[in-house]
This record gives sequence, C-alpha cells and structure tokens, in this order.
Amino acid sequence: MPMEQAMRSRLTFPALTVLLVAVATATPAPAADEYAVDAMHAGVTFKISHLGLSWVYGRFNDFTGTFTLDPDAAKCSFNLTIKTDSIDTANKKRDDHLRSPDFFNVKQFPTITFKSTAVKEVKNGYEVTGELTLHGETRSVTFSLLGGRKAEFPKGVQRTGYSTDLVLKRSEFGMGKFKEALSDEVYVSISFEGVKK
Amino acid sequence: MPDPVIILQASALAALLAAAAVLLAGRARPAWLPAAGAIGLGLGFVAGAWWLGLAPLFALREDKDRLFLVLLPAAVAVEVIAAFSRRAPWLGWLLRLAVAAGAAPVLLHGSSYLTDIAGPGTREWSPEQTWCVLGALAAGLVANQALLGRLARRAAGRSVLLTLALTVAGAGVTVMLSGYASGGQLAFPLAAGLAAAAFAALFLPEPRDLTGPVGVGVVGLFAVLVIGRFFGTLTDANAALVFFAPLLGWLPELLPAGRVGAWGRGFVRLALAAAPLAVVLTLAAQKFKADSAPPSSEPAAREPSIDDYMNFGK
Repeated sequence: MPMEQAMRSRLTFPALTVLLVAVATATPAPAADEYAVDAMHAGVTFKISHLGLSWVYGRFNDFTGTFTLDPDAAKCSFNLTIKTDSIDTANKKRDDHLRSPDFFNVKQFPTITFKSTAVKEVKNGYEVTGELTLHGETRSVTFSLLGGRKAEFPKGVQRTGYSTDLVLKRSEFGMGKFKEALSDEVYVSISFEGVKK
Repeated sequence: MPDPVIILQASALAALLAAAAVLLAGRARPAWLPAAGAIGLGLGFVAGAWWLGLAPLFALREDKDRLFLVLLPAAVAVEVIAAFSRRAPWLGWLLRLAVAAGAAPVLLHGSSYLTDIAGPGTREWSPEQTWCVLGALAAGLVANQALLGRLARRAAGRSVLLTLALTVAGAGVTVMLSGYASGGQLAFPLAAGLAAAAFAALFLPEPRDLTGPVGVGVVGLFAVLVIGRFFGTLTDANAALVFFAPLLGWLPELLPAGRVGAWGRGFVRLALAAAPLAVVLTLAAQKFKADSAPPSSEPAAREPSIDDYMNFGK
C-alpha cells in the first residue's frame, strides 16, 4: 500500500501545478458593469389623447435609476424609481388634479417603480421584462430597450444609453377615471444615459 | 369633468333615502328619529357615492374607501348608540370623542404624512407634528359636533341641518376647485341628504330630535375637507372657514326671542353661514383661474368649462 500512496502523490502534484498555472494565466471573465442613471441626460415622458383630438404631453422631473450590464444578458438588470409628485404637464391646475386621488394619489403612492425580472439580448439592445408598480398596483410589463452605444464624456466618465417606448392602460393600474375625456392608453417614452460607477 | 346629471341623480337618491328614514321613523317611533336619521343619511351618502361611480373598494387602499367602509359606519353607529342611551349621555360623547380621535388617522392611513412609504425617515410629519395635527383636527371635529348638536336641540334642528347642507355643498365645490374633482363630488349626495332630512322633518310633529343626522353630517363635512386639504390643494384657511361656518348659526340665538321667530332665526342662520362660504368660493375660484393660465404669453383659446366637457359630442 505505501507504494500506491507514493504513486498517487507523484501524479497529483503535477496535476495541481498545471491547474494553478492555467487559473493564473486564464483571461478573467468580464465583470458586470454597474451604472447610475444620469438624470440630466434622461427623460420620462408620456402622452395621452384628449377627447380623441390631440395629445397632451407630460413628463416626470424627478427620477433615479440603476442598471447592470453583463455579457450574459440574463444577468443584466434595470431599476427605475419615479417620484409621482414631479409630474409636469405645463399647467398647474392639471398637475394638481393629476396628483390627487383621481389619478396618481401622490400622497398615498409617491413613487412609480420598475424592477426587471428577465433580460434577453435582441438586435441593438435588450428585451426587458419586469414588475411595474404604479398607483399601488404591480403588473408585469415587457418592452424593447434599444441603444447600448458607449462614450467617454466628459473624459474619464464612461457612459452608455438606452431608450424605449411602451403603452400602458391606466385602468389596469386603478387609474381609470375620466375615460370620456382621456384615453385609457398612455404612451410612455423613457430614454436615459447611465454613468459607470 | 363631472357630469351634472349624474350628480343630480346621486343627490336625489341620497335625498330619497334620508327623507324616507326620517319620515318613517318620525311617524312610527319618534324616539327612533335621531338613530333612523343618522342611518338614512349614511345610507344615502354611500348610495350617492355608488351612483357617482365612487363606490369604495374593500382593499381600503384609498381615502374614499376608508371614509365609506370605516369612518362613516363608525359615525352612524355612534349616533345610533347615543340615541338609545339617553340615560347615559356620557357614553354617546365618549364614543363621539373616539370617532373624532380616529377620523383623521383613518383618512390619512398609509399616506406619506404618516407612513415611511419611500423608505425609512421619509414620512412628511415628525411624531410631534403628527400629534399636533391629528390632535387639533380631533379637537375641532368634536367641538363642532358638540356645538352644532346643542344648537340642533335648542333650535329645533331643521335650520341647523339646512345650514350644514349648504356648508357641505360649498365644501364640495371648493374641494373640486382645489384639484380633487371626485373628492368634491362626494359632498353633493351628503348635502342633499341633509337638506332632505330637514324638509322631511317639516311633516313631523314637535319635538323633533335631529341630532343624529347632524352628528353624521359634521363627520361627513370633516371628511370632505380633510381629503381636500391633504390629498388635494385646499388651503388651511379655506378648510377652517368652511368647517366652522355652521357655528355662525349660534349668533341668531343672541337675538331677542320676541322679535324674531323661528323661521326668521333659521333664515339668518343660513345667511350667516353663506357669507364665509361665498368668500372661500371666490378665493378658490380665483386660484383655480390663475392656475389654469396657459404656459405662454400667447392668448389661449377660451378655457373649456365643465359644461363644455359635459356637452361635448351631444
């Protein structure tokens, strides 16, 4: 038996050495990059039909977000938080009404949040699925997030950007009042740059 | 964009229920009048809200849900208990005090005023501020209930109910002008119920105890103003002026009894309450107009009115 043990030791030592050398010289797997949304170069806007005649446009002025990009798209993630109180349609009376419980009820539901649950790579971007919580109701939404070009601006600051358009039915989020005058469908556009952390 | 026809229908439904309860109880069992009046008014308020499409959701997520499923039933129950515990009036007042203490916390439950919704430390009011605001609101509610209840017993109740109805209607318009359209609409069925209870009482023999509907009406007025103030943009001054306007109804009691009859006092009572309401409505309308100004200096097309919205496409 001592002979067998000596043989195993002799075989194990070179094998370990090869393994260690391989690990040391191998290219490390690229780490995921984390980004923070640059609100100065981002926008959350929407439009809704008024009487079926025209579009009323609005935006949210206060939002934050983070995202992680990984070579494996399944490991990417996107998060966005929008403060409902920051709604702005360029008309104070209308904004006050939109903040009331007739619409966003900002004192009860001060934020809109999105958290991705699945990300797939598609041409020029990603297909993102996630949980959108609006007016206290959480629904799963899927949209194409296109972009991904990268730039260094200003020098030393790495950034990338994406955009998406999606259509929400406000009644699905418990915001179905005044359907005679305002369409149920709300067209939302989100565009953002992220700064690499 | 409220539909005036639907508001009228909702108000008629509430008026019918309140008047029927007062007439039936007043004719059959006068001792049940305060309890029946409170129940009729409460049922009318809920039915009117339902007709308006503002029926509460059992999830109790929003202010109106909590008003109709928690606060209003509690206010009605208290008036019913108070009506049947005449030998222990302290019980009724103890319960009214409990409702007054709980009214604002119920309406504001889960809001950013009282709750850390967006993470720790994000609630708008500090604990001290919370105690001050909720304490002041509770004190105001119980004081108004006590003073109007006493006035209703002293002045036969009808004109007090009418004054309250006028005030509630004024509160509704003011809240609608303060950025919370459906919150203001709620007031109209309540106002109609109060007015209908007052008119129904005309057909009842003396004495008529209308303290039950007065108690529920004051809680309803309080609720409309609180949601208008904390979920809309109703100002503190306007809310306070409207809430305490019915107390001016005490002034005619100072007039010499022989010179002015009961009808005269009732008329003066209504006129006195109408004065601060007119001031508040004017201020709220001016603010509404200023806030509707177009963003540019270019002259805008005529601002569409509620009627314009209602008649669109007809």
